[in-house]
Amino acid sequence: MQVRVLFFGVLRDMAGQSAEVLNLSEPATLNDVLRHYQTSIPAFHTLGRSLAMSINQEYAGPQAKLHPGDEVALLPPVSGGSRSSAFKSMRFPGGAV
Amino acid sequence: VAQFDKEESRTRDYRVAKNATLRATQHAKTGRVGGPVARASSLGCARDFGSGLKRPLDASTSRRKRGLLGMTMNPHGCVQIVRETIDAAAILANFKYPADGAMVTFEGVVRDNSRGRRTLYLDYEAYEVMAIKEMNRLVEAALAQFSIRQVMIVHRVGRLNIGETSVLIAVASAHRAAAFDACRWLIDSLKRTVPIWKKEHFEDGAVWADGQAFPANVQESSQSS
Repeated sequence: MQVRVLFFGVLRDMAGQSAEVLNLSEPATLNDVLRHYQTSIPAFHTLGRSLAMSINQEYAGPQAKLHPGDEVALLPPVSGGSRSSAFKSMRFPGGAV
Repeated sequence: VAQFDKEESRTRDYRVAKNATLRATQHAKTGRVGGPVARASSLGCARDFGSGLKRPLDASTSRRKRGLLGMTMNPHGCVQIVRETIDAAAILANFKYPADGAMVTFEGVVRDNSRGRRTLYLDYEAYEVMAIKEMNRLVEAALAQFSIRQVMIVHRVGRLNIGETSVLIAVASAHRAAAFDACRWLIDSLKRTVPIWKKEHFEDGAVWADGQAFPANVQESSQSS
């Protein structure tokens, strides 16, 4: 099956492109996508475990199953807004993520 | 019939019960209770940036307010990603309501240095569809967690020069403590979960800013293998 993979920020620079269509053998999970790029783009390892992934604009874990036509994104740690904080009440109710 | 929703240039009629609120009309629109959060936020703001979901509606009010709808036709309501200058005063001109006793605003501003290097400008990039979703979630979560009436978030993308505003957050409430708390929670959460990145351009090169770690519930779900 085919999924569309999007790259953002530093990952886009490493991948040398902003998006591509990836062919995967079924059944496939997000982890298969991650492993594919960790193999083909060694620089991805420099991000270690700090990146997140999404399927169809929702955060998802490595075991999440993929379906044909899904939009997958590889997301480096975000940096919008300002820097640093010690605010404690960081909660995400209602399935925010 | 309350005619109140003008979205993507279309005006629609919804039939709602007497004493209905915006939250009730959300259900009328989505056809089920607890419809998409993004819709709730959109409706909450779509009338005039000033109406909380619990605000009572009536047909005459809706007609009276109809003239205001034109300025808030953005389907994303009070959450926006823009490419042009963020003019806080203009955006907030109609934000306050008579019941508000406090309005807290935060502006993230492009600083002229970073870790000892002189910054020339920043390039902001967003995964826009997801960023809008996540910002709408933050708005809904803030409205549920804090005693506040309304929230607005506007984030700019593209090239920003020193001194320009990258993000504007406004919170209105009856009392100041909740507005301060909610505003702080919103900016802190935004920069951890909303997929927006910035590239810092210096005199001697450029680098993607180090982001903070994703929250544990994102991190665990994404990296547990």
